[in-house]
This record gives sequence, structure tokens and C-alpha cells, in this order.
Amino acid sequence: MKFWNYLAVRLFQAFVVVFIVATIVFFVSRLVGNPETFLLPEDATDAQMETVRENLGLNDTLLVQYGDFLWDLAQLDFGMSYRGAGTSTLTAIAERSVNTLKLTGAALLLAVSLSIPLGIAAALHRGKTIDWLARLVAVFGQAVPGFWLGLMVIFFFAVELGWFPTGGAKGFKSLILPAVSLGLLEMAAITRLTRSGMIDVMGADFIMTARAKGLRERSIITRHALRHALLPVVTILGLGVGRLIAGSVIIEVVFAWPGVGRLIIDSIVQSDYPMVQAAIIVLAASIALANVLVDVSYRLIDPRIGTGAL
Amino acid sequence: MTQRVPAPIEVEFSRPRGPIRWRRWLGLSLPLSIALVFLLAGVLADVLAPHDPGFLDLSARLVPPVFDGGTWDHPLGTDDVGRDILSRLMHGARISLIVVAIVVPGAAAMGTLVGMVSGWQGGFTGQILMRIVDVQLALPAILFAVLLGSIFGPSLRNVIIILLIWTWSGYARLVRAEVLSLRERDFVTAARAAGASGWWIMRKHLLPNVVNTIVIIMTLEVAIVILVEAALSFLGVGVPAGTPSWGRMITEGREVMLVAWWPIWLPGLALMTISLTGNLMGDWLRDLLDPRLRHLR
Repeated sequence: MKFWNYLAVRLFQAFVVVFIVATIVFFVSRLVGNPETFLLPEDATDAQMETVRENLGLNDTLLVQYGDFLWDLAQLDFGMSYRGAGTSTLTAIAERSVNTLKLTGAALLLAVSLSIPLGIAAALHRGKTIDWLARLVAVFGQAVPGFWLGLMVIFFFAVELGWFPTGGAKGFKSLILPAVSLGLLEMAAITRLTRSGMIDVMGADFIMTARAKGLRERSIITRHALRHALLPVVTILGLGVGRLIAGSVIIEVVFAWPGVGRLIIDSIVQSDYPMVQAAIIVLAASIALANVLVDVSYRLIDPRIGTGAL
Repeated sequence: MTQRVPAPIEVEFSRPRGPIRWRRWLGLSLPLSIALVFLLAGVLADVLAPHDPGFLDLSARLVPPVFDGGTWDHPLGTDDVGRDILSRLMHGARISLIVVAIVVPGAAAMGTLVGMVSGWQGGFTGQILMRIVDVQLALPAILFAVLLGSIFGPSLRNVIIILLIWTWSGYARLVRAEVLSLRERDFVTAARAAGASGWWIMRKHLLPNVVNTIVIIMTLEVAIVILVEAALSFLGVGVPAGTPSWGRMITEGREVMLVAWWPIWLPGLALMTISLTGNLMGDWLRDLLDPRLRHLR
């Protein structure tokens, strides 16, 4: 019961966060000048302008507009795009979000599947080649600017060697370069954390006990040490998902990847504010949800953390 | 996110002996000297730079660096409109320095204040403050930055404001977590029993205990702030066009990436070197001051 209470409270908190984000986005995008000037040709008459303003509800007071906006949001109506006659923003975002999910998912998978084994191997063979490799990944991965790395891998692997396409989202091959560029930072962080976590836990008393019981090394590592060492990794995964989604914006621009991030950048250039609003709210909601999931799973993995303190 | 996880207490069993300790100092001297070069180049850019960073010399376009067949007139070559890359790198270092000098202490002060108050007060105020932190973490700051940049136009001031908003919450989270555990300690109870006010306890008892954490995060944030400034400038919402920022230089170098390597490699390498330096110094400081914080990065 306690767990469900906890889940409910966390979900409510996430809802509040999304609500505040929506509010900020609404008011910030109202700071921009008159959207009707972007919608009509330059020689439009004042009367035409007035009709468009009226239709968009721009003549109402700000507070009324805000109320309408919230009411529409509650019905999951994110409004119409200013571009591409009568496209619902939510439809456009849904189409694009598949690509962003692919990209961030691939980056996360890559980071987790490579860095955890690397971190473990480094911790178990301290000072050996594999340890040096892990530390190199950790140190450089955290220092290389993702967008620059992206440009460099395009240059070497797409232009010079021609192994991969230079951009766009056509098939599995086009996913590899952007996913590596996006995932490297998380890979560095996870490798580092796994390594230091494993080193710490291998010196703990309960590992000595397990050894004294005569357990096999493999079972000591997987059953006893790893469970302990991976706790902080789960913590940063939550923040990591947020970082990946935010980082995907730049990587999507570098690789011309048709995801939500690029949609936002393009929409800003085209002054398509309903699209910008909707996309930012959707991304913020997904990050908030990811954070709740991590917090909840954390409590499932480590029962020592009480559900009382929120 | 509010994660109150007890930091694992790490015990170093083997004490570093003589040679290892020396190696540690040697390992620090390299980042330190790079940081010094960066600092000098930025501060003295006007005096040291061989050319005006904005001077277009169309007769000397894409001159390679001196070690790749160029001349000493342009030691690191020129870009596609004939501007001296070394001079632009130095003035770019100055831009990064200005951003770091304002953002890092500013965000630290803001975050520390919020973290301490919310940790100490707890209850309603604490909850409100932590929800603000959550909002900041859930709002993809880069999108917000792009939105603001597109509305107000690219400018150094916007970059600084955005980076302040972006980075303060990290301090707030950690300081709050530390204050939450410190407030239960005996010396705080004693101070309270002696009639000390909340502000007094925060200033005299809590602040000295969290100052190590703050210094460590500040050092580690230097690299992040520089990288994000470059990323924003790369996207065109950072510093205005024409400003010699490293991010801008990478954007410009991208145009000629296929004919000349130096306009994109050199600012990228500069960025990487300086963020590597910041990270190494942060790590060193953390191991020195507070090894418990190893999970930070």
C-alpha cells in the first residue's frame, strides 16, 4: 500500500512539473511579436489580419488565452501547426518522436551494454590494459563536445571512408553514427561509476564473507557485488535519460535526423509557435515520467530506501 | 529528482607511498599549466594575439598552420575568410572566461542559498523550492535556450542568463541533501539549544560543512559551462555572428571541413583540452577534499 501511495505522490509531482513547464512555455512564446504576420502574405490587408487574429484567439486577454490553452491541453488538444495547412501538432510530434525514441534508445542501449561490462572488467583487472581503456573512455567521453565529435565522425566514417550515410534516417546504418555521438557522454559516466562502484564493493566485508563461504568467483561478482555496484548507475540513468533527450536536439541537427529536437529547431526558425509549445511540453513530460520510473525502480531494487521520505 | 541515497563510504586501504604521491602532483601540474595558459591567453588576448581576430585578409584565405606548410605570420593558419585562427582562439578563450567567471560563481551562490534554505526549512518552503529544481531538470534547458535565443536574438547576455538557469539546480540538489543530514547532527542541535537563529546556523554551522562540495562542483562545472556555451553558439543561439567564440568557429569550420582540417579541428581540440583540464582538476580536488563525492560524475 505504501508503495502505491508513493507512486501516486510521485506521479502527482510529475504532473505539477509538467503543468509549470507548460505555463512557462506559454508565457515565453507570447513574448514573440504577432504570429499573424508570419501566416499571411506581405500584402495582406488589415481586415485579413484582423480575421486571423480573431480566429487564433489572439484578441482575447492573455489570461483568457492561457485558460483556453490549459483547457485544450486537458483534452490533449495541442493545437494546430501554423505551417502545413491544418496539421495537428500532436500528429506531427508523434511521427517525429518515433525517430527521437530510436536515437535516444539506441544511444542508451549502446551506453549501458558497453560501459557496464567495461566498468566491471576494469574494476576486476585494475591497472591492466582494460582498466586503462575504461579510464580513457571515461575521461575523453566526458570531455569531447558531442556536436564536434558528430562532425568528426561524419567526416571520417561517412565522407572519407563512406561506410555510413552522412545524415538522415534511412535504415539501421544511418542510426549508428548519431547514436555513438549521443551516447558517448553517458557511456563515460556509466563506465566510471560502474568501475568505482565495483572497486568499492569488492573490498566490502560481505564479499569477504562470500569468499570465505567458498562461493565461486562468478557468483560472487554477479549475485553479490554487481547488485550493489549498480545502484548509483540506476540513479544517474534517470538523469541520463533527460540528458540524452536534451542532447538529441544538437545531434539531430548535426546529423539531419528527423526527430522532435530538429522539429523544434525548424519550427522556431519558421515561427511555428504552437508546434514549439507542444513539442517542448511533450519532451518535458517524457523526461518527468522517466524520472518517476527511475525513482520507483530504485525503490524496488533497494528496499532499504524507505518510501516515507519523499 | 530528489534522491536521498546514503553516499557509500569508501576506505582507501593502501596509503599512497612516496612515488605515487609525486606522480599525483605531476599529474596535477599538467592540467594546472594548461589552465594557466588558457587564463593568460584569454586575459591578455589584446596584447598577445598577433592579429586582429576580426580582420579579413582575403589574400590569405585558408593558410595552413606553420607545421603543415604555413608561415609564422599565421602560426595556426587562417580560416576561409582569412582571419588568423590563433588570434581568434585567444579571443574565444576570453569569451569562455567571461561566461565562466559570471556563471559559475553566480549559479553556485544561487544554488547554495536555495539548497540550504530548502534543506533547513523543510516542510512547505522546502517542497516548493525542490519542485522548482524538478521543473528545471525536466525542462530540456537546451530547448528553452533555443526558444529564448530565437526570441531575443543571440547575445552574450542571453547565454549567461540561460547558463545560470541551467546550472544552479545541481548545486541546490546536493547542498540540500547534505543539509538534510547535517541538521540532525549534535552540533546543530546544540547551536539551536543555545538559541541561535536559523540564519546564524546556516552561515556559521552549515555553510562551512558544505563548502567543499560546492568548490568541487564549481570546478567540474567549468568544463560543462564552456561546452554548453560552445554548443549554443554552434546552434546559432549563443554569441552573435562574428564573435570569435569556439562554438562559432566550429560552425564556420564545418563549411570548409572537406577542404581544410584546421578551421574545425583547432577550436574542437581547444574545447576538448580545456574541458579535459577542468575535469581532471575537479577530480583531483574531489579526491583531496571529499572522496565520498565520487558518485558525482
